[in-house]
Amino acid sequence: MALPLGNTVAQPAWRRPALRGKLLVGGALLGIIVLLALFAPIVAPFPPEELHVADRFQAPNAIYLAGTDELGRDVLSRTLYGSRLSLFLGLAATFIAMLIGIPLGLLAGYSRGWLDELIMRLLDVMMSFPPIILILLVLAVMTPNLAKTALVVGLLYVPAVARLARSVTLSIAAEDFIQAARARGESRLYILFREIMPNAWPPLVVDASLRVSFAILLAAVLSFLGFGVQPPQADWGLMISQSRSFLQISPWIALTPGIVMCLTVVSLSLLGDGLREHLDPRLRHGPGL
Amino acid sequence: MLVYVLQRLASVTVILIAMSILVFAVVNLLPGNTAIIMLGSYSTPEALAALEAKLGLNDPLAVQYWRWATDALTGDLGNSLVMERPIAPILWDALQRSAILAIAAIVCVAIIGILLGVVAALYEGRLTDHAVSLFGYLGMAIPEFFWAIVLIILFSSYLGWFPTVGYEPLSAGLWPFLSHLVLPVVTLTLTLIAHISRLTRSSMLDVLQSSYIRAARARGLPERVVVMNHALRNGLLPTITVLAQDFGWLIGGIVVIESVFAYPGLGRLLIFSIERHDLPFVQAIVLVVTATFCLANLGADLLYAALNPKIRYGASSR
Repeated sequence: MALPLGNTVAQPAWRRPALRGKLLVGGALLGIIVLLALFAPIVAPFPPEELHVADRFQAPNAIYLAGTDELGRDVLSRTLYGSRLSLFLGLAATFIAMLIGIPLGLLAGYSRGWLDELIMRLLDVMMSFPPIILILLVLAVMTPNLAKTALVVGLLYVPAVARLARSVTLSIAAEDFIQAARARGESRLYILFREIMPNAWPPLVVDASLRVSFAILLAAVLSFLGFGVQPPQADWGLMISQSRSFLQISPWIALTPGIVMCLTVVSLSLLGDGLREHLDPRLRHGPGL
Repeated sequence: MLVYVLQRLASVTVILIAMSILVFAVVNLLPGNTAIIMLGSYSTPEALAALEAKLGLNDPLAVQYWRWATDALTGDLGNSLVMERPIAPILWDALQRSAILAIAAIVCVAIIGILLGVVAALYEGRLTDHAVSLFGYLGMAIPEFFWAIVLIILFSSYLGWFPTVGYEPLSAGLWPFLSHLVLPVVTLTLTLIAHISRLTRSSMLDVLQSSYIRAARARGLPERVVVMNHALRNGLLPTITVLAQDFGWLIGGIVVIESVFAYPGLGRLLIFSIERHDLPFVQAIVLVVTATFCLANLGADLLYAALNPKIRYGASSR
């Protein structure tokens, strides 16, 4: 039987399907969404900003599968194009958070002492703001656009990523092979990036997959409030925001992007949970042990 | 315990000061100062210079910060640029209305979340447990603004039970007041409940497997007494800390919810002032909201310490 490496205890048979199931369902769902986003120009029945003034507020039908909005734009096409923006925002923000957060956490966790204190206390100040408030404060003094939204959301997540990287580093730094590297006289940079980093990635990857979904939601909220992606671009949060005046007559304008957004987030958190259970040996035996 | 309280008080003070500096810096270091915004695109250099002098914008930033911070401590938050009135009274009214939402939501989250968590733990691995965790997944995956839209479509447009937007004071009658609160509070509760119920479930599971619970059962105590009197007390400790952390998300949620439901609280005021570039107002709201958040965290820490014997007796020995 093909058991994961290092696992010598057979699992109860009924637990394994659930474990693989999460990875499988999450991965498959996400795969479909990513493919649809990549091939949106081919898959989408209409260009996202094309107006069909004669066909405003159409309910879902054979031509407009998810109906049309107040300007006669095809809701399904806009939702498909919106997935490109959302996935980009989620990935870009997570990338920025990791790019800054991981080195900070490695440095703080490995150096200890005053540098550790300084970094962590500064991050504490950032974390003592309620998340959306800090972003709104920054966006209040700038004109919002796609890149700035990604940057601000990414920066907001730096403290959380750095804290995780620090705690992982702390436990790895106590291992013998790090002592050995230090005794060999390796440089601090070498130890951080060649010795600690390769061993620190599993929890960081799990965190990243969940963080993408947080970032997608946060970016959608910002667009919804008018501080993210700007019209006429097709963004999920923006589409839902603009549909608010027409909820009574045509709820599908809000429901279609909303449901796709939820499916994306669910697929990402299933994937993240599945990965965590797969990578963390303690969870392999199921919860409660 | 006293040492611990003093430590926490000191660190909260430091954080509040650092935070106010950060708020001030973000608003004042970035290009486009208050005078430029007040005069708009018709400003002449002379008018700009005169206004800058009048507002004290030519003073060193440290002096400006000191003036702003000391005024804020005495309750003077400056004047709104757009409404041309003192900020403090407007902000106070909005804060009260937001507090109604926040308290109602946190109470619902605590009661329902803990209940669901305990039930899930008692029925671990069975259908009830799975139903609770599915409910939790849904709550977390659906952002508050979409929950709000779905609830409006269902209960307002379709069933017509509750008004879609707005606010009525209590003086207008109990039902008008409550009916405007139902949908916002339900939305906030739905998004936060998963966190609490998951955590309660896992900490209850830990506690239920501990030896003192086995001992209590072995003594023949009825299951209800074991769960309510023995397990719950320790099982709820982590939940209190998380409730305080969730308070941050609650504040974020309130900003969104208030703008969906056109509820005249602090969140809507914040969005309103950002849209109109009313920087003094933005600065004041962010300061008040963040300070509230810090104090809530402090309160939770102290409550946790008071309930947890390890900290109550052990702080000085560390």
